[in-house]
Amino acid sequence: MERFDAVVIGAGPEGLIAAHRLARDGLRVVVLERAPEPGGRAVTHEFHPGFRASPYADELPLVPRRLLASLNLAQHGGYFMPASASACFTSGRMTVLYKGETCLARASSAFSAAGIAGLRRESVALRAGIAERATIAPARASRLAAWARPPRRLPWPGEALARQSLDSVLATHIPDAAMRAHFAAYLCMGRAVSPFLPGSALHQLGGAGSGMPAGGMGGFTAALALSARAAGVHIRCGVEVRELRTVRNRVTGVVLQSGEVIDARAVVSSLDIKRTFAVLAGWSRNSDDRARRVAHFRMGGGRARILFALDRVPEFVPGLDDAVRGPLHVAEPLSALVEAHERWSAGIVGAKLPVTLRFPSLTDPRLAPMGKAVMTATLSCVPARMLDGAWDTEKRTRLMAQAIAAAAKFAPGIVDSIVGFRVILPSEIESALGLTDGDLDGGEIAPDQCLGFRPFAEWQDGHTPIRGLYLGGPSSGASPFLTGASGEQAALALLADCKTGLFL
Amino acid sequence: MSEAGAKQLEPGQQAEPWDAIVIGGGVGSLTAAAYLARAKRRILVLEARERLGGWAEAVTISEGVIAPAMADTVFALDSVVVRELGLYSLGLSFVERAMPLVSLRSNGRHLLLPHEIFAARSAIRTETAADANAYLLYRRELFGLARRMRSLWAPLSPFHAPIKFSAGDAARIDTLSHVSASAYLDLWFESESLKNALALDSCIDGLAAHESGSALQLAWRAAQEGCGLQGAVCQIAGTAGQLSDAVAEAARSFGAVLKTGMHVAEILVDHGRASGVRLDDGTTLRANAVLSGLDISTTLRKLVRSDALPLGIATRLHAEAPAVSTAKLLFVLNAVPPFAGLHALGLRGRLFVAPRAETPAESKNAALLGRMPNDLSLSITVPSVADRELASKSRHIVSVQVPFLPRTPQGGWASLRDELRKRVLMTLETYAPGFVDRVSDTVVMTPDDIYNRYNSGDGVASIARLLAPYADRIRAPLPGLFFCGASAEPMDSISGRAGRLAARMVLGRDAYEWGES
Repeated sequence: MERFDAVVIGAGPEGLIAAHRLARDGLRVVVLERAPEPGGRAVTHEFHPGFRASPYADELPLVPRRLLASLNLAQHGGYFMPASASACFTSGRMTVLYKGETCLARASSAFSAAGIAGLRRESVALRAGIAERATIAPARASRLAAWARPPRRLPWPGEALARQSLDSVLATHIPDAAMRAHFAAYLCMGRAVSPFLPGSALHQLGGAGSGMPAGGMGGFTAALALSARAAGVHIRCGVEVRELRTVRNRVTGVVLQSGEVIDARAVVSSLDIKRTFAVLAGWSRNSDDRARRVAHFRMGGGRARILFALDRVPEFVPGLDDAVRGPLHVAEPLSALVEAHERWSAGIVGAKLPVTLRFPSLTDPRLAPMGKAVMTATLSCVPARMLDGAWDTEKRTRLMAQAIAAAAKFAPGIVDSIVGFRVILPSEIESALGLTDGDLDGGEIAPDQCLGFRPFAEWQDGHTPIRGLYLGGPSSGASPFLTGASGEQAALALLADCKTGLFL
Repeated sequence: MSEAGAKQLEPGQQAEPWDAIVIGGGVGSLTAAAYLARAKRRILVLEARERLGGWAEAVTISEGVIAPAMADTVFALDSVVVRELGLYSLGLSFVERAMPLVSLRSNGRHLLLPHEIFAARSAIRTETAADANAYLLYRRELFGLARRMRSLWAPLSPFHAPIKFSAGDAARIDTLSHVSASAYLDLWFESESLKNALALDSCIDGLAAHESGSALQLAWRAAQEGCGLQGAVCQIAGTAGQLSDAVAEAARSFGAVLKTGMHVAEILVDHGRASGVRLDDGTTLRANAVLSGLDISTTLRKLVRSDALPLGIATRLHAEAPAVSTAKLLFVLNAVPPFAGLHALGLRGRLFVAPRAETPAESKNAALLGRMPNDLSLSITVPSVADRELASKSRHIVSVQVPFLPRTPQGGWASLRDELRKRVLMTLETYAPGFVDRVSDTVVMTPDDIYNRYNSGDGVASIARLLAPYADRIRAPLPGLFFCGASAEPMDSISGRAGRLAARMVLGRDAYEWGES
């Protein structure tokens, strides 16, 4: 029986980054992954002979620059190719948004350009602040201190957004309604958002993607895995963790599905909070207060994906320019999002879902055979739990029709070039990745579940009530807005506890 | 003093300025005036309408039927005001104290929640045993916090003690200000009807139960519940109009000058300080301080020149202009309202209707988009059950408040008035079959009507307001201007508390003698 200092559950970006950080400090670390290959959400699959795409997302949330440098990814072949523009169709009008401020100013009205640039700078600064804050992981308070007074919540940048609505933030910056809808579509891609709700302004932090990794998401994972292995991390794929072993509220290891026991002094879980505690730790819903709170953590899964194989590179409408390499949105005005959100929360698939299209093979030609193309569609506001029964062929067809109708706006005649497709529903994301409700964010983005309140105000910086168990997945800390930050924070919390000796 | 004051109202007289001018003749304004006059200050109250009372007024609908125009119940009346102004001797009395809370269900199995905690527990036990015990813990937790939060509401000590919370309380308040009421209640209870009842009770106005921060409203409702002799919610004999009459009488007896039919057009600002008012006939009245009983946004947007306000306030006020408002309907019935399965005790309470748990959220969304919601949630009282003086013979008054309506709907309220009446009646009919046939008279007050009548709408609900200490709510961002009306409370309510505190601030006595507040 092997003995490790730390077990990391899940070989997604968060898990690998956490493991890398621990191994760099000299701990013996093993990463356990259920799937036959590492990657989690960041994988590239062949969904049709010769055509490859990332099934769950085309881009990751931004990876903090400091992390990229410390992981040495570029050396292992991991680099990003950010798009320089995006386009959006809103009520019959197309807008193109450029990343560069000069292009932006040339292409749109002066007021809108200044507002958008201002908003972007604000988000960039806030995200940088959050990344910075995520590197603070103080050691777990000793029992005596915990008895004396509850731990003080360290502030997070961007907390002021928890009081505002997305609509008001956008309205104060961007005068043009179509531009507002475009920007909102970009911020809320793959999520169900009610833009008038106080706190929906938090989505402002979620915008910037990392850009498409070279070789698709799998390329990024491959580089990450190489980097982690180089640091001394063991990665075991195809093994599923069945439960956590605890003795008197103290982790002693994990039990695998095969019955094998892996002893460890600490466990970092990169799964979401419900999976970690309700399934692995076996907290039953009504056993006590903390289990009840975990049960009431709200999930916000609303993403469905459709991958299309196209037998030729589509002919786009004029005026799209460089935006073909970026996300192409078909969005309703902000007011219509409210209705989509209502339907989503009621468990109904709306008739006009917000759709985002991407042509990854235009950025990275290796993903499709020569002369052919791959298109992905991300549909938002697709409920994970349906009111009117399970998904059937008819519902899937209707979903696909929505995606194709959206694609036809940018490339008329694209329907004739489709040679293969694959539909990925929230429930399929859940069964493939183990994320409850297929929520890639690991929890609804709401003021009481974000930043300093993620997952709960008392569970800060990756610490959990179980000693030796650290939460470094999507449900903790900086997570839905940045990639890798919460994994690293959990690792830092573990290392800090090692130093105090509390944990040994 | 009052003669000299009356003389000054005549044009051309250049007498010395008033000590304070109070805009509006509602309960808050009159309380402030009474306190100031009691301290031997020269006070002028200017009410635009022909009668005093504001939202507390009573209206005569038909022969022998008197109904409360807006306020059918009074929340958390300040017991210090009642005692110090001697309101009992001026005719104030209650017909119903600590009104129970009733959540109506279409199947007739209504949830009746009495004010008294153990009675409430046994009522809940008929639904779920677990919730009954959780309710005790919930009350202990929330009421304990609410009691400690009262230092935000009104000063509790005579010293200028800074408002300070223990680390635990600060964390609790911080959490509540981020959680929605429904998420918070989900943590405590299982029974949907109990959760709905509690959510509607505190979130019928202001933030809806699904919006983050609305859990603070639960805490404030708890603070109101726990604030003194009349329980939280009471019904005043002869409608809330009796309350405003009593306060007006008190103000008059201390020498305040109360003038009706005086429209204030502008609050004058000299050297960055409120220095008086200009009436719409051009008369200028000088004063050392101005108090406004109107809501904050109306006062600052309509009455004060925007360049007199600090930078950014005017823009923010414009952005926060209320989009959601409330309507009021009064029905005169020629028999007892036939709510199925509701006995007499239930009829004396506040009845809440929400066809589904999501109804308030959907209504609020529709209202924000300027649409009439599909389903309505209602807050209903039948004041004539407890107070037989209000309606003669066997008639009854049903007072219905409809929250979460658009302030300015597409097409305007004029065309939607009848639609609103029909929908409310339709909703009522499902809970009280035969209701429509008994209606003999109807008064519909759309948000437009209410605004035009009182020149003041709901205060804008915001987390900032729910968390602000009393001084920040009462002091306007303009020196010399104070708010004394319902919108200077954390949640809109006719309590007189803001009036008392505004008067204290005008007098320069921020701290206050020990006392219940």
